[in-house]
Amino acid sequence: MAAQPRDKMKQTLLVVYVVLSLVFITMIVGEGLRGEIVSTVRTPRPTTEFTLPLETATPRHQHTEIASATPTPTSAATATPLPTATEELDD
Amino acid sequence: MNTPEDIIPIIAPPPARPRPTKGLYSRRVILLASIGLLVAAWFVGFYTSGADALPLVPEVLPTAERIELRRGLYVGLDAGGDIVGYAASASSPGYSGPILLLVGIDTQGVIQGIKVVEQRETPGFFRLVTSSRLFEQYPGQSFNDPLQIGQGLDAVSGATVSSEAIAAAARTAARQIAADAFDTTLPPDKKPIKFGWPEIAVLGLYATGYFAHKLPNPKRKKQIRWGMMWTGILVLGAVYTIPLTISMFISLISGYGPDWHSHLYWYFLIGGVLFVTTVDSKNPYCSWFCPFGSFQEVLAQIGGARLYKPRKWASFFTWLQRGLAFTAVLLGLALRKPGVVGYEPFATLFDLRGTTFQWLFLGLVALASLFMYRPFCNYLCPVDPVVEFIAEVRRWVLEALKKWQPNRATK
Repeated sequence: MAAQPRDKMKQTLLVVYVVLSLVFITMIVGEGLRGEIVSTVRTPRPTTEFTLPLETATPRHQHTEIASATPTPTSAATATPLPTATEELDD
Repeated sequence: MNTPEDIIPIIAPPPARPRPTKGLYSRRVILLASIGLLVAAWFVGFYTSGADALPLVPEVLPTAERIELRRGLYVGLDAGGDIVGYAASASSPGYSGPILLLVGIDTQGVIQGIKVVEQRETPGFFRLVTSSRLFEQYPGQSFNDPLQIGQGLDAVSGATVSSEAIAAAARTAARQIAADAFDTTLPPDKKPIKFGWPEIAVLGLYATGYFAHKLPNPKRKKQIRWGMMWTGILVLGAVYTIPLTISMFISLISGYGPDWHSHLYWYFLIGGVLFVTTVDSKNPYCSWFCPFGSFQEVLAQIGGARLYKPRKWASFFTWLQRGLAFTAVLLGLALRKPGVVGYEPFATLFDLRGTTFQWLFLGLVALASLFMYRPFCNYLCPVDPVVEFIAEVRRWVLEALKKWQPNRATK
């Protein structure tokens, strides 16, 4: 019976440890993810005029966006869309 | 996680009991569902990853007014339509995934600028790169220059792997521009295989752990184990900072392992766990030479800590640990960012670098280690559930083979 309060304290400490750890882990992973998002959002907007590509022979991840001159879902969230051929003609 | 009971050798093993089948069905269903989710996350990551290099071209070709794409090469043109330079992107494996780099070169073959298009490194480490002067070393170099770390280029201390990957990507991009724009074929990039002390240390520790845990003499076993734990702390931790992390498993599954020529230890470290776990289901890494586990054990000795896992909560904590590991792997695969989801405080301890929360977390674990036996390993470490997962798959395969073989013999 004498061991019970001691055991209760141990259990409380364990719960405090686990809860605090979970909070810190969430913050650490969140910081990492937020850092990624911030760094990609900061990708500068192109100020130069772009012309249509003549040929495409780029790696897989660039192929689609350059060939169609429109960003992928990933780049859409991070960078300003490039001018399309129509927009350029309008200019 | 291994408990102290695991460490004490069983001199006279009890007779083999049949494996309890209670809950076996649900375990297998969970296992299959987990595999399904991991496969789905892998495909999500595969089809949604990628970055657009085009918006960054003006930054590496500052004098260009217009950019055209010709034969996979970005060509910078001035207002009059004359070529002012070329840009190409290339990637090279970093520590947690490929680093995609864009390189701009003028018509004289001189680098005008470089820009990282996409990377998957651990944020804390890559912050060292972005806050350094690494990128300033490239403009002014010719594509004929070696573009090698140690040959005109300096690495960033604490982020050597990323620095080398950036240099390798710059070389590849420069070669592409040289070949396509200048019709110059540069000698192929030499990749010598590096086999040194880190590789010897990892192989030696695995070999010793594998054989030593079979030793019948508990006293000798304990001595060897402590020797290995100190080697783990000093060599894998303090000197080389190469602990096994969840990011490594995610990188491996994503196909993002670092260049094997220069990072054999990385493959030995992760391959060792996979090999040993597959061969006899005993993982010597965690309890014998994991630098962070050993650090906790040293603190346990100082504080007289003992294993504490209340029986009524044991299952809850086990599933919490598994859930944490699974979420990390799932996120890492779906986002294709292995370095981001790793939450182990190894680097904070051994590299003395980290954010406020990483330091707070390390402090909490260190404090708890004085009173609880290996609190990180037993409640939070994501590596142990991964190893457990592999062991469970192994058991299933072995059982299936056992069932299949007698059937086969009777035919």
